[in-house]
Amino acid sequence: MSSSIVLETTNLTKHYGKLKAVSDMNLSIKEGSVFGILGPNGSGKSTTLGMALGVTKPTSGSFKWFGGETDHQVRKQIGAILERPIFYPAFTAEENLRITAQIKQVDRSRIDDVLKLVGLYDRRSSKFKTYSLGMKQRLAIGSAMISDPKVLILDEPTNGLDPQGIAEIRGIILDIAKRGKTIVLASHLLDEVQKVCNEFCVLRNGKLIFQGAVSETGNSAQQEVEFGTANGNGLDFAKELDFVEVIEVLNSGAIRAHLDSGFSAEKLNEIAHSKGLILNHLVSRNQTLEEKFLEILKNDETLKS
Amino acid sequence: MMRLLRIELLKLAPAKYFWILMMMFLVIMMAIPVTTVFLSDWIVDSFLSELGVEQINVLFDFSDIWQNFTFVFQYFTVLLSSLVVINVAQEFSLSTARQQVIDGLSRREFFQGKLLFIGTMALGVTLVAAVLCLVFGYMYSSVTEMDTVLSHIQFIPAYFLHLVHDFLFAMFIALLIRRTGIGVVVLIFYGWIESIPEAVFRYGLKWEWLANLLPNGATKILIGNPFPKFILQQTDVSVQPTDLFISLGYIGFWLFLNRWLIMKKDF
Repeated sequence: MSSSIVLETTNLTKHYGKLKAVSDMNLSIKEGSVFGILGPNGSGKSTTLGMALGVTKPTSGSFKWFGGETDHQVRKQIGAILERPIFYPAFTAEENLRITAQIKQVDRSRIDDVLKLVGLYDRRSSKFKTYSLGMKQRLAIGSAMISDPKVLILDEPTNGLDPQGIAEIRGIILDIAKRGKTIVLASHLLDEVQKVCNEFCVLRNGKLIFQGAVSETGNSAQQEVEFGTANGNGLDFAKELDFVEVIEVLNSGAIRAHLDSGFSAEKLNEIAHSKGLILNHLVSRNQTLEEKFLEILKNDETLKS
Repeated sequence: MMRLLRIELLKLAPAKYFWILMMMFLVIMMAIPVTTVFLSDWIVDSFLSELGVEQINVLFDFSDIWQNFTFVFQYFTVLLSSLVVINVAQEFSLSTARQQVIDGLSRREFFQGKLLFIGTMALGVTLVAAVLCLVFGYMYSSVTEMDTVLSHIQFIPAYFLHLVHDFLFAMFIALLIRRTGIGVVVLIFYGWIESIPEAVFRYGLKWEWLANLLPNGATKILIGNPFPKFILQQTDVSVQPTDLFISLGYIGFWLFLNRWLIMKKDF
């Protein structure tokens, strides 16, 4: 994988009067990565992206796309959605995408391609306002993909969607990532960043407080599992094992527990099996990013005080 | 340039408000000379035929027709100005301008696209006006010698400038307010509100020059009211150079402000 830089910001700053939306942001996003920008609402994610995409004027600082370009031509090679899907509500998907295709100077045949990519080809002649939120998000991703961009920027793409919609959008994102595109995903959902991204940064109050790889955060801490047994007493079984620390027994009878580092859900299953215990339910959750995130926020807090 | 114009056309072709307002305007435009024909026929039939008068369609006489009709058409420009307000303000209330910049349109291109739309619409409407004047002129004018026909055709380019000015002013309101409904209301109200100081300057204080300097006044002075001459008052029968100067000045002023608003403000 090439390690050239897709986007680099240097001391990027945006102040609205006294409000410091973004302060001295220094980000660098490598080509081919799926980069998560994590932060609570109002932490400056959209403002930072807005500046890099030419819609928000920076108070100071600069940014570079692909090592040097800043003007509008470069944005034709970027697919981006900020905050929410934006289209003319009274126009059909096709009519909307014709405008995008003309702006990005791509052939009209791409319209059908991207409509098929996001599964909206059959609804191409329906007005945008008749779409469900999930369909609107999908159309936005399709529109962003119309120029077959090197970089895809998605800002809260699953916001407000039902679980099925979220799963669909994630499927599309992962599918696009597999084609070697760089994806920048801004989100306030840890879970989302963890599932989709391989690198991430954390913003807080307009400041960058952490940047690193998702995998780096994985090894050190404990893993959390949830399991239920079909026969025998799961709780007794769990208490016998010294690498298992029971957190709680759920109403369903399932047990939530921490595993010491080095132990996995697989090991747990193996031991249960050898003891003749059948697990009817086993979920392993990598909670480490959340812990890392809380730790980062805590460190930031202590630095300030 | 063709690309920018094409983008604007793609935004207009499926838009209902565009077709409704445009059709309304064109119907009114054509209804004006047609109604005039019927009205003058009716007047002749009911009152004047006994006196031996066969025709009174002096309104259609070359070369007065240019001024007569462009002057009346002016009063309906507000329909098209509303169209401009909706078109431009909508790009901001829907955030489509923002998305288009993200997609790779520069702010300058966005501005140029809107200018092309305004210019093309003004040109089209001016052409319709010219054709209507020619057709009705040849049908009803008592004089049809080429020299006379063309002698006051300067009111046609003047009408074009009037349209461009009003559309740019509408664009300014749209860029300032960024909401379609309120934008149209402000546009219409502004016309009424401006007539208050205008009346004070013109008739109260007799500061004609200041009245002419107000934006709405400035756009209407190009085409002077031709009708007082029918009651034997003196009127301007040509476009006055000072008026042209003021009008062009305003066009430049709105161009500058509109450009500034697009280049400097966050989308």
